[in-house]
Amino acid sequence: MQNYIDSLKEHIEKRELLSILQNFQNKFGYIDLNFIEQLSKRINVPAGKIYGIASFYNQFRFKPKGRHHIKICSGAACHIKTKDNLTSEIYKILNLKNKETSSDGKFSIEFIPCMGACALGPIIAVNDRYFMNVSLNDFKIIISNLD
Amino acid sequence: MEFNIKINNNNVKVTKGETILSVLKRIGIAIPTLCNMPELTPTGACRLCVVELENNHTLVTACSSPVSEGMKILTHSQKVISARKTIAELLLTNHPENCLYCDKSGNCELQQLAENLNIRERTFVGEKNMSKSDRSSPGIVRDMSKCILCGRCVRICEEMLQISAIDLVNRGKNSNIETVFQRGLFYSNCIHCGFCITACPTGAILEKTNIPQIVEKLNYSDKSINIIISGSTIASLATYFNVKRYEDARNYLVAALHDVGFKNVMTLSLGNDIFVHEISSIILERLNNHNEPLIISDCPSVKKYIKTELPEFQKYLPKVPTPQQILGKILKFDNDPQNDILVSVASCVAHKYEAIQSNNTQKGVPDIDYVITTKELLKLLKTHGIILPYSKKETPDKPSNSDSSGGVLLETKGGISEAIIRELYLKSGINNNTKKIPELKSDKQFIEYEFALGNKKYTIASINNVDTLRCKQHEILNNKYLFVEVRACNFGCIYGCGHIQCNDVENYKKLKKNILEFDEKTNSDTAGKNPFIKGYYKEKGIERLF
Amino acid sequence: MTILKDYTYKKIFQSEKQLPDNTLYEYNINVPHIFVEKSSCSIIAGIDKTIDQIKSYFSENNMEYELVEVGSKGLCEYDPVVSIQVPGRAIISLKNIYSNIVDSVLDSILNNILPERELIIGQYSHPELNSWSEITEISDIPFFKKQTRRLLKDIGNIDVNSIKSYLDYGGYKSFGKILTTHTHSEVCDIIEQSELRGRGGGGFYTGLKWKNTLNNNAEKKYFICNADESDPGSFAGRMLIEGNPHLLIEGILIGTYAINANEAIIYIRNTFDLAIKRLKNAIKQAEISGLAGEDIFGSGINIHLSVFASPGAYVCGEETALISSLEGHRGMPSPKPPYPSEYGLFGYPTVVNNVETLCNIPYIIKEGPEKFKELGSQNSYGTKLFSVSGKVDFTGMVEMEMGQTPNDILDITKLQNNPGDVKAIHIGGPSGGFIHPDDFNMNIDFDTFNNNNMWFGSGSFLVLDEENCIVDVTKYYIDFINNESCGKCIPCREGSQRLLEILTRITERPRTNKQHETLLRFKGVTQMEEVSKLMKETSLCGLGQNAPNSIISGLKYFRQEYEEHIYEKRCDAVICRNLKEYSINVDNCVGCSICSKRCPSDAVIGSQRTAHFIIQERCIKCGICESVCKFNAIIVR
Repeated sequence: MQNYIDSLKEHIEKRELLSILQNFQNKFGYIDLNFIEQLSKRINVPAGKIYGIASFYNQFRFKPKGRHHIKICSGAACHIKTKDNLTSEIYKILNLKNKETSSDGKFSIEFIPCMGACALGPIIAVNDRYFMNVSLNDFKIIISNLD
Repeated sequence: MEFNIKINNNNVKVTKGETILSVLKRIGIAIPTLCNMPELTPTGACRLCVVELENNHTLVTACSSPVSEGMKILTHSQKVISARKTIAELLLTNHPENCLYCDKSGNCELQQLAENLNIRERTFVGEKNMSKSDRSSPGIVRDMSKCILCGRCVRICEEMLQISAIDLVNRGKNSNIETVFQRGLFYSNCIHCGFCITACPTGAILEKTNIPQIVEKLNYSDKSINIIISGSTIASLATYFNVKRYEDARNYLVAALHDVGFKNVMTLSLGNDIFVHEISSIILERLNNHNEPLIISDCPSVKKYIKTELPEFQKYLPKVPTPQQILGKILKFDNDPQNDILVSVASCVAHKYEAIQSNNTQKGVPDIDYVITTKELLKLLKTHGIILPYSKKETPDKPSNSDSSGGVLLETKGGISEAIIRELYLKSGINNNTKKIPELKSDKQFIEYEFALGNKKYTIASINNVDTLRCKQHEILNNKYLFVEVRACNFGCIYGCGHIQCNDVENYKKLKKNILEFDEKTNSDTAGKNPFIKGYYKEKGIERLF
Repeated sequence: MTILKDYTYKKIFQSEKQLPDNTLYEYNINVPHIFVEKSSCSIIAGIDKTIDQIKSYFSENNMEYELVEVGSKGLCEYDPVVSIQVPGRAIISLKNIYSNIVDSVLDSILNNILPERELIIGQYSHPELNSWSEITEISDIPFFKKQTRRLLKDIGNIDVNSIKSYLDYGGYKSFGKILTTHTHSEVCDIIEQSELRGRGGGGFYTGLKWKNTLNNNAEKKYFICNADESDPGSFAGRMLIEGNPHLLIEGILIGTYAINANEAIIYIRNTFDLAIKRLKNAIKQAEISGLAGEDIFGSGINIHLSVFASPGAYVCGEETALISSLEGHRGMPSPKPPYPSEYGLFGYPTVVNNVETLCNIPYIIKEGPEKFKELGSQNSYGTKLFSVSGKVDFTGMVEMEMGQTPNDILDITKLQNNPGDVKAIHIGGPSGGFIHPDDFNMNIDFDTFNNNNMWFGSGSFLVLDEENCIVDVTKYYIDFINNESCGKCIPCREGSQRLLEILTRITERPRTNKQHETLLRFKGVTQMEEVSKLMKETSLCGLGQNAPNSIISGLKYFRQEYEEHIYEKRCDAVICRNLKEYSINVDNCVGCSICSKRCPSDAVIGSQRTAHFIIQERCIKCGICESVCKFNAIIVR
């Protein structure tokens, strides 16, 4: 992480903050407190401010992803085609307890406003592999194949 | 450019660029506001100041909309009133309805709003914000369930101080005001200045009270419990109770506190005197070769700020503790520390933070056991049924019975500089010590002042607000000044967040007048004339304590 | 580099020949050409595997071929779509080409044999080429025939990765034209005459916006393209970019020139991977061709293009919030005035336009404002893109003339449009509302919608049938708003929370039958009306002001459905399952265990031949137990 901060260029404008955070997250998977504090010193923006800005946006996570990352399309078309309370059942199946990442670090969940494939919904992506027309049973099978 | 607009069917002359709200204030029409604070940029968040514009299907906020030609404004139409009422009802739905137990009760803007809009029944039922409260700071408690997210604390921390220890986090229904990673104020870069306490319209941000512990000690402890009251506390109570003269208020208060159960009642001005004595000795030593800046502050917030934000300035801070801690060290450890409990009444919550710092304890015993604010003291007085003028007067106990008025002056803006300059005159044997320096007492946040000592001229600077310090850091590093006085509060300790009516500028002016009048008529006006100091240093056989 | 520059120069300024509309590429080819419609939708359907398979097919057979990546023509239902041109024969377009059938399809087509009929969409005939017999023309397929494809004209034909391809279809001619013959204000005049209105929702006149910004003197100005399309169920803008990135860039270049700015920023969702990739590639090509950057074709004009991958918040579609986000703050809207045209990004005059709006610009410049106004209705000229989804046969993107009706769109997207099988249409995403079948002949244009307090926004068009519940869909949108509200102003933040609670309350069975709880449910409707009115009147930005539209229109047209939920605890669509409670009548249950075996959530327990029991916490209210029980033992309450 220190390397990443050192690799940042000398003069950083505030408008670049979001892309710095994006790059960091792409590299390390999530944004941690240590990074925010180091970055705060480096670019002279209070840590509280950076956290406030980052937490506003969907993209930023503050906890590591699970071993299996599950993306669910929450678009309108997928919603009206979804049956059997799929989303709330997924929370139960993955033992997420309304959190982003399960406590054993196995699963994490993310909602995408619309994946752009409304014809094929409901769509779920497990580790970036897409599944179309997913039913509750399909999901159970997909999950049971993961270690 | 001036033109006419219509407000409630009356013609009003306005200037281009004015907001509707400022026009309404000027002509005396009151509309409710919540997120608006005069010193901060309007955000239009609370929507309570909405007014109706002719030919506009939505209502507009008065705080953020500038006037324009041909405007026809209705400030209290039925549409506007019912909108305001519904907004307030929505806020109340998400607010814990335990006003009876809230410290802010009676002084709460939300409560006032509900009363003004005549909300007398629960309209909506729903989930309430159950956010945890942040009790990590020794001085500030943030109970986020009472927060209405007006953003005043966030803006004051950002715009006035550039600290942003707290900020809005998350979005939508999860919006909240939090420190970085919800770790709590104590672990953030918060300087505990308490500006947010003065900004908060509800009871969401309050000082952490120590009254229960003190009451317990008063009732059950066999130790002697002593109290130190600061000059600004006396002035604050004098203003609150309408006691004209500072010394009257002080003497009533001393008598009252004796009756409450405090053994010795002392004033902080003794600590101030020692502080001035110590600092002026340092200045005199380096009078001829001041090749490094010297930053003088009796403000714990400034010290914390320098520690976290401007660490390169730390070596320019002399090792003299703040007056409160000086008194603690002297009063407690010259005797047996186990026998005494020492309570300090301070002007702000930063002193609560200061008292728990490890360098302010000796062998695990704190110099000052409890710090309370003026507001808290008032509550203690109220429970004992005390109002000023009290039935009797007593002078402060030894050793603080001989304080100089210069020590009291320290509580005001520019007071440190003035007290030090007087002391420098005295120590240099120049009989100029009765001189008052009005230039240092202006309301500006940065003041430069030049004075002559012997045949040499020196410049000093007086800075209020830590952001001004940040802005002026290069001038300070240029070593232009003999010394620089820095304080966090905009108008010195008498504007601290611990005072009654703390965010009221008019009130602050009364406090200032009270103290200046006292200083005006007293002769013993500098630390060096304080007989205790003379004796104390002679007895110890030293020049300086720290 | 110079070659591309020369090519561009010739194409733009010397009127080199261009390809006719509705053709794929050149007709005179020597090797088979394979056109793959790669879009965000087809990626999910598995186009990448199909492409891999095509590549390995040709390399295994040691054959030469050309693979061209094109955008989706809008028929998402058919993905992955692959079109094939064998030398000498017309192009044939095929649907649902998954990787497992690639080999057999190629085998037959390359041998001039048609594959199975179910796979064929149609063909593109050409006078010089042999047509396939008995195969319909693509342009004759009802889905395409009844559209007015102005913006989408070349999508599906253009090679998305090549600026040459765009130039071949007459691209960048409009930009070349204004650069050499028009002043800044003349461009603004043309757009003003065309009466083009913003397609993002507000419907503000684009020309006027540009002119205001041009007339504000400042040392710097910014041009921003808002591609942060994040309405759930709206994908038209993204597909436009994916299918024809240069069209957007040309529109942006013209706009930037028109307001005399030097910097243009495309603000796009970080999740739109493909669109970002194609945009960045297109910008690079435009720069290499000399169409962007310093001193464009010797005109002395500098225009710098950049892409900002936004970290994602719905409210950033609001222009002040978008600007605040670009400045590196929380994307919270700020009060207007000041408008961005006076005080925008970093305090400089700024224009913010939506993708679809900008894609109209090259056409207007090329054909003139009068020609543009030939389509559309009074005060709403041109065409509008709709993202049609839900209970239709053809989910996808359609382009309609302004002033067409919902019926017209249903006509295209449903195989048989029986009146009555569509219960409602939800148009405009979270800011939009429901349309009742009685109003399906209402014109979709700005005036009609404004007069009816409606909003078609970015054009999401969700079709609902009897299996969908109005209350549930409304709850879905309000939940979305509640999450996506920036949290700044009280009416939107607290109002949407209360609305969501009321909606949840009426879609769930009351926990007790106490009077207090019943009363709360009954009061719900009046409270929703009160809060909706407040949000409309006092919210800070468009998000809050339009958020209650679903509720207002729902209560207006489908009040009966709300009342069924509240008073009868009944949801005819069987969506609001929590209104029901299933239990087992021990007297009737014989313990056959059928329900226990069929229960998807293992909620029914009990041993054979003894009465079973339903664990309420596990029950997902699917109703399977009731349908399989032969002994009437399941009690539904």
